Amino acid sequence: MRLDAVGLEVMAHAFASIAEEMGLVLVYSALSPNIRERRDASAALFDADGEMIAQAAHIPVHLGALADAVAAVRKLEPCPGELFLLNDPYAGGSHLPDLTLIGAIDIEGGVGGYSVVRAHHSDVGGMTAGSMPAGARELYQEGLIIPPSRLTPDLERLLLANVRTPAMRRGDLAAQRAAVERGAEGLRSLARRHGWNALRGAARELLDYAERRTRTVLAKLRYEGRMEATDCLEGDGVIDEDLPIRVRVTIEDGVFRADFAGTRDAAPGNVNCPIAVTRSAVLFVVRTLLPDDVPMNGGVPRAINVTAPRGCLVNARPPSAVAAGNVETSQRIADTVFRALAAGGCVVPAQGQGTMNNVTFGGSTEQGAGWTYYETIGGGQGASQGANGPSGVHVGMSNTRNTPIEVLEMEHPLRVRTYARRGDSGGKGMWTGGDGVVREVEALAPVEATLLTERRRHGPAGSAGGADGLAGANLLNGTELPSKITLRLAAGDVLRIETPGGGGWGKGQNA
Amino acid sequence: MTRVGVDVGGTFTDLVAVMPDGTLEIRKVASTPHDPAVGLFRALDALGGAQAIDVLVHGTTVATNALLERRGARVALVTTAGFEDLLWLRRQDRAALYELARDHPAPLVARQDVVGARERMGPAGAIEELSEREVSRVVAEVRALAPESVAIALLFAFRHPEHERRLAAALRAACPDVPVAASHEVLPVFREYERTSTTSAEAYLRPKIASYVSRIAKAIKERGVPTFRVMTSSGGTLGPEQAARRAASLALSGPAGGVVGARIVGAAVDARDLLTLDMGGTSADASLVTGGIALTEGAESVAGVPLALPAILIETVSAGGGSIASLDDGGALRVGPRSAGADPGPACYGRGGTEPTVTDACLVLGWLDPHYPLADSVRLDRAAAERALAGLAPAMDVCGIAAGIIEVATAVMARALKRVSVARGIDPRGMALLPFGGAGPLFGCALADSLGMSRVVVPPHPGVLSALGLAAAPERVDVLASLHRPLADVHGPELASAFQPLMAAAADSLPGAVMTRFVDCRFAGQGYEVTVPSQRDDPALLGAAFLEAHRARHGHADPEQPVELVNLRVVAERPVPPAPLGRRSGIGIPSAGKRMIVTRDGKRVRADVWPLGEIPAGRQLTGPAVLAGPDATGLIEPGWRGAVHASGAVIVERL
Repeated sequence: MRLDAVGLEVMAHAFASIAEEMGLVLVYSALSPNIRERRDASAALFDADGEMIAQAAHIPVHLGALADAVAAVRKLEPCPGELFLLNDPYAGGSHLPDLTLIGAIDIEGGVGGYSVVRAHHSDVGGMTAGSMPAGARELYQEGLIIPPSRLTPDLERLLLANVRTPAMRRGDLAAQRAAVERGAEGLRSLARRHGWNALRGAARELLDYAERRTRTVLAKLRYEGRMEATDCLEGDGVIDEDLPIRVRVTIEDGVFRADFAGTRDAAPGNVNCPIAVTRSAVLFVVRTLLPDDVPMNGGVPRAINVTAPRGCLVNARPPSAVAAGNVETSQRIADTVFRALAAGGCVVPAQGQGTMNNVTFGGSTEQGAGWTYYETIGGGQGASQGANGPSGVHVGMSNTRNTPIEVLEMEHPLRVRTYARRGDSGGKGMWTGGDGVVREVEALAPVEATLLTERRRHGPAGSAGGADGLAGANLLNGTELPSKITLRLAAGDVLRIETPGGGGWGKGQNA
Repeated sequence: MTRVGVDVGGTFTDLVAVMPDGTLEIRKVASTPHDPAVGLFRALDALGGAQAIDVLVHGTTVATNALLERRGARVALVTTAGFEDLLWLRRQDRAALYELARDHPAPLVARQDVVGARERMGPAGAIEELSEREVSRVVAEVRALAPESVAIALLFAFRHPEHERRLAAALRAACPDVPVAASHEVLPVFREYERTSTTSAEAYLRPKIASYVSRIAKAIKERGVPTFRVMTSSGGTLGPEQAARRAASLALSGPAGGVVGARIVGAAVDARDLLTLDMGGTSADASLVTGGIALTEGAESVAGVPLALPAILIETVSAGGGSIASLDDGGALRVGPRSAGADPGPACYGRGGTEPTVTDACLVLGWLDPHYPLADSVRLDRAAAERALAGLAPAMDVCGIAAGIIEVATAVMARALKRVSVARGIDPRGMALLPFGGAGPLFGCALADSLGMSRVVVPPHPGVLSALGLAAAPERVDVLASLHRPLADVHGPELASAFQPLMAAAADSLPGAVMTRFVDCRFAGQGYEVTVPSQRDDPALLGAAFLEAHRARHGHADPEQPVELVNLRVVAERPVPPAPLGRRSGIGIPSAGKRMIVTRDGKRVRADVWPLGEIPAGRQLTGPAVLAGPDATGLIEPGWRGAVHASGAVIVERL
């Protein structure tokens, strides 16, 4: 069946509204601030062949990587109606805190598709509270590893026995399961209305349509010369040297090829990425080149090809540690790909803060119960040709919200002393980069804290002659800290995070 | 008793008068955007001075437009020191996921007009006291800014308002002519960003709303109308003095009138569970009425300004009569978000528009009558509509193109309807769809089809339903307070005593009103609440009702999980006598007859044409049929039949 122009648009709306519903069920009923306030979660619907039909627009780093999660589950030969859980970065996952729940949707007695919800749980065990340890050298230190598995009550008990905050995890998982079920029910009712065969055909057509539009845009992209670039991470929590990421981009027949040959071997610390995360970052860059109305589905990645040497930093192998790969290295991969496009003469924005400024806190209450809290902090967006960079926002692979100060202080022994724009931190130029943020948190009780941050040494680069943004800084009671560290805070200690400004764009009077 | 509703919209000012004998008088005049009051009084003049009006209710877009056009007061904002940037940091998510240059709309306050007060409340009370010296310093700094209005929003003021109270008192004493809005008065609930934004909006709108409302109130009094009220976003009405102090609660005054009107028509035909759809020129608004009650929740934002006040649930999509259809480079047909608006308007208006719109498609299919003028006395040019449509795909039959545009517009509107129903766990299939606005009833059957619904209620006067809603709106006041206590700790009469101050405040604002008590509940740890009626203030009943509501909405509920009571709400309503919806007079009607139309699936059929609002009660109408009214047109598709209710509404059901 070939869908006409009308059917395409109608079905795109129908599928997208199911994914939206899934996202709402999750956010409105989850327990942890990280999911309900910060919305560090994503929802998507896949077809029976494992291609994404629709997504709720949430977190870029999740969405590009979900296809690998579905592929991993499909290897287990799912039966209709079965529910799967996974977080293994080397089998469909991203990093361990991202628990991914996948339902095999029962339609007319067969698996008609997959309903997928990935959410970042603020603890999955491991060596530090919050499961985002700095200095981890092996995946085993980062938390409980769950290979793609059928979610049984026993598996859930095993999971809950290995985390510091079991009650919260149980509530979040219940919300996640309800969201998966909502997605399944949504697809089933659509199948009842349109007929299952027609619906399947429509989904295929929508994927072809998105692929067609992506290829059209890519084929028209003007560039000259070699699109190559190198950028680097600033240490990995174990070693402090710069770790280079290298990419070469070519575009042929409307297909975007990114090859990471020349990238450093996997690092001893936890900045390594499974290839799924690398693909996500490249997909993100391509997506920013497309018009807003191209549906985000599995048709877009069909026009993208990502290769990386096995065992390198961006195609790591077990048991390399990966906690920061998903949140920090993914940002740098996107930065490097943008930089390669700029080298070829494409007009792209200056670099944004290029980090998520991950801060994790944990401890135990006076009653002895464990608590954990995870947040990421916005910063400066890079300026574009024609626009200043927005200030105090998440850039690149993240788009989580902040936790309201009043929520944070009601729930945890922490006090926010200031939350402000970091004035003059954006790079100057014809267009100015966005400003970073200053956030000071005081511990009110003994607390374990972990920082996974980047762009503390090299500020985000300006573009087309614009100045670089100011590098970020982490301070404990006024003394500078490394970019990646786990430390113990006593009551009264003050942690101050200054996030980077975005790069400026173009030579201007200010530059 | 004569009740009058006046709805001032972007293009027209509609007036509906419910006369003592139950008939409706309807007037439509052009709006006067430079001063909306002029249009309002012209509509009253058109009604005729001889008519004694007892109650006049006004729906206004003054607040909405002030937000959209950023034309409010210059506000000084007082925050806790160290948190002056809250309005700029928002919730730190970016404006568009993949458009890196896009920024959020600017806040309503200029950064140099923010004053930080050295004080700090925490969850358990003062961490840093507010000194008298600091109060004087803040007052002096605010005075030096010479603002037109002041907002105060301190951290934790929703629970510990003492510092806000002292600052507000000092500022009011020092600047008696400047309005001062404090966050604990405007929105005493947690989440500092949303509270600060809402309080700033209140301060921003208050001078403008206060002067507009008092000017009209005075003129209306001079005309001898004893009671004047203004519609709020939550579907209730306020007297002019109260409206002047709750300016931000008028942000959705316009659309709320329509939902109230839909609820009234629904009640008249015994349809208590409704999805409503107001289709205008550039957009369509979907809303929900369950059990005869319009659902109110905190609106997320209006014109890019987060406003967390109670508001009728509205989901807006860019699909209206003027929405432009186009083909994208991947070969998909799109409708909106671009719109031809009122000027030049659709191609068929003959005012210079050349791009095909939804209205052009309706005309080409014969759903609209080119011989009968639209409400603004525009005569429709069918040839111009055909030319515009043919431009999209020269090789295709224009009726096929038109049907495609209808199909896509339907899909866009269906998405809004799903967001207010399915996305909240509400199954629309047993509900009735109530479409209104000039073109809404043309899409009733199509939308019902795509949501699996089998009942459509076409109101007798879909084009002025908002004004009818205003005329018949109950007087309503919402009072809110935060509680934040575990359900398990609340015993016996405690809940009732916690409600006491709210009940007193509500009774004070609206004497003699019927009070309904609600509690916003959630599982401990959740971030969003489900609002549950407080039956007999019994904690056990409340807990059970919450579990049931949570399961219905979110698909799960764990009875083992502790429950928390977050906010208490009292809704005080003074109902008005049910509006008679009988026959109307005032504007002419087209005559009945037959004409050829093309259906959505491309079939040419002969349709009956009925004069909507004038068809005798009890008449059975078989699809295909066009319902042609003076202010709106409806369509009964083949496979559906209509029955004319005593109220004049047409109840359309699937055969």
